[in-house]
Amino acid sequence: MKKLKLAIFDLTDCEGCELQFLALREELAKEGQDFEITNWRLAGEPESVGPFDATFIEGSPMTDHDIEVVKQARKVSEKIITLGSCAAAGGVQASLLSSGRKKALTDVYNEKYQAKGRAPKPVSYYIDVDIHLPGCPINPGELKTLLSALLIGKKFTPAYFPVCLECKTNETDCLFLEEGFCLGPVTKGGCGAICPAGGLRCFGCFGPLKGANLGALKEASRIDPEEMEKKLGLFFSETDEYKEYKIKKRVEDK
Amino acid sequence: MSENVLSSYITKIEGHGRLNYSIAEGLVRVEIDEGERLFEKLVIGQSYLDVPFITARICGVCPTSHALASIRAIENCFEITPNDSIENLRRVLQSAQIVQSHILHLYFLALPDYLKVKSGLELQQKNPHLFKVAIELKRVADLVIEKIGGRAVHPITPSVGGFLKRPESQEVEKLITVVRSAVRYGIETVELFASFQYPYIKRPTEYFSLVKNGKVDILGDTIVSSGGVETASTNYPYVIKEKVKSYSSAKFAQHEGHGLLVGAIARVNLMEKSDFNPKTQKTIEELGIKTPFTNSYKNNLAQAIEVLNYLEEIEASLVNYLYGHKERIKIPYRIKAGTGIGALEAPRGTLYHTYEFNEKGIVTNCDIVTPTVQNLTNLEDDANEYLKQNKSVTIPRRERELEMLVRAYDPCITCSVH
Repeated sequence: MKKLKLAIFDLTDCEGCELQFLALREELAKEGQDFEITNWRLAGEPESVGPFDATFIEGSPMTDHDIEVVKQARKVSEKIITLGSCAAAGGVQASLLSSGRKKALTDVYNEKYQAKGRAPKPVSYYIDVDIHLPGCPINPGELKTLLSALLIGKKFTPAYFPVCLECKTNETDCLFLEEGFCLGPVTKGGCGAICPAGGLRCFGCFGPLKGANLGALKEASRIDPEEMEKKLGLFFSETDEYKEYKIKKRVEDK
Repeated sequence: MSENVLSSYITKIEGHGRLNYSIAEGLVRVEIDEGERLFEKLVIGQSYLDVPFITARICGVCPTSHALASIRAIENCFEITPNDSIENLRRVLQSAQIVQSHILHLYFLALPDYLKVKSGLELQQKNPHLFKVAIELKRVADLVIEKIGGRAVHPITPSVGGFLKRPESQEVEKLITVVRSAVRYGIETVELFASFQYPYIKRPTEYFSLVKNGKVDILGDTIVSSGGVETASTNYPYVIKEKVKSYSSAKFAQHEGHGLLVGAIARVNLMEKSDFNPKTQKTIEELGIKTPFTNSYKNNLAQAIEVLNYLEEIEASLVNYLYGHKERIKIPYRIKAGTGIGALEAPRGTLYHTYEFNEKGIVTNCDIVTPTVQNLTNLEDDANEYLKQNKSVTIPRRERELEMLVRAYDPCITCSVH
């Protein structure tokens, strides 16, 4: 089996997803050096600037440098894999709408301050992406499955069921019924539903299920509509499902 | 290769920064290029209940600290006083957070400088025992946070008024055993970092930490400094002022017009010998380590001491929780409009969160001051002092040692640009 050359690039984010590689490192070492990480700023001086068999991109492209990195990475990588919700959908920072960015920058810094970053977008806004590994943070189990799939050349299939399914498997009490709201019904699983298992309602960090009807969820929820609006926008604001929901809402509001 | 876009930042630090300096002018600038995520603005309009979940996302290295700091701020506003069971578990989490973050920094980011290997990956081949120590300590710290907080990165169970879920007593018992057996690796860590030759720099520095009843305390309520500051943590806006610099998306904080230093070196320097846990005290004595440290590079040694000290703290707090009087883990409360300030000692130093809430508990204003922001002025001043004190040193060595200085500070750029 040939050794796979990997790269990990972090853009604007919290760096929590790439740390999952560290948690796996011992296991990766045991697997007999099948992988070689040749460019990872957090871990050491880069040994290579390409080509790479697979490149993991974490974070949302915000600075000019971030955007150059993703474009260059695409040129020298066989496969591009996004790590986490920042790379897949802009992350929580995308919940601050781009229209509010200018005022926010003035408030936090001052009028003269020249921003280093622009509004956060998904990596796929700039380049083609082969695989998305969602989550905030990603599930290390899914990362392991993905790495094995890469190694044997098998197709990686992300979860296509809602968080609710995993809650039922875990026999966790339904927080939607108990508390009147949870994003589990419209959110992709694969996380193991560990938030509800810990007593916390789902925030939707794995992103919406394809075609999820966010408006219907909002109607079924028993919390303040304005608050619900905020919750839907936290991880979903740069996704197709959310944009569709917004368009429908605008039409209905008229 | 430094021309390539895929390799243009200082490696082995959290986030994106560069050192820009002109030898002729003898002027170093710490340039921070991280994009502005604007957490202080994006929490506005969110419910207080969701704030700890959101602010944890500021940093993947110290998310537990951000979650707990915001919880403390909210409880300050709503006038909630956590009971001993809750405080013990929070102390466990925050101590484990310090160990988790210091281990990442010491073994994977800083150690390559001292062992002259290129990366933590190379360490694995060249010194498998050290690699094992690092992985084991990281595993233990991760496990503690996972079992008490629900997940190793971005905790789940810590909440306003306590915890959403009580950890099983059996699990707590198991954790005590695991942590106890990791203490020897903590001792090895101190021995290792005490054996290194550190580059030299000396400059008068004012060290700051939180204390409680006069002793350094990660969940303290009073700010003290080596320069004589002593004031309630809620007075931080009067003590620490942030400044905007055009070349940095992180602000630079000052105290009365000069830099300050928070974090491991500050805490260790402000501790009396008897304030350390027993095995830490013994190890410091046996190795003849002299505190207070005056050389900022020794922050790495201070971190190693803290790894051991806070491993012992985890064990003690778990024991206190398990065998102490068990109180309810979730206390009832009422939402109150107003302002709340929360502070705690994060791995890199004192972290402050402030929120204003309306009568529904919706955030109307927010201010976050991170440890790295407090350290940046001092880092820049130290770097300039280094150049002054080391004029005869060769350029490659100077570059290497300046990068080592940045790394010794363990800046979290991700946190600093929040």
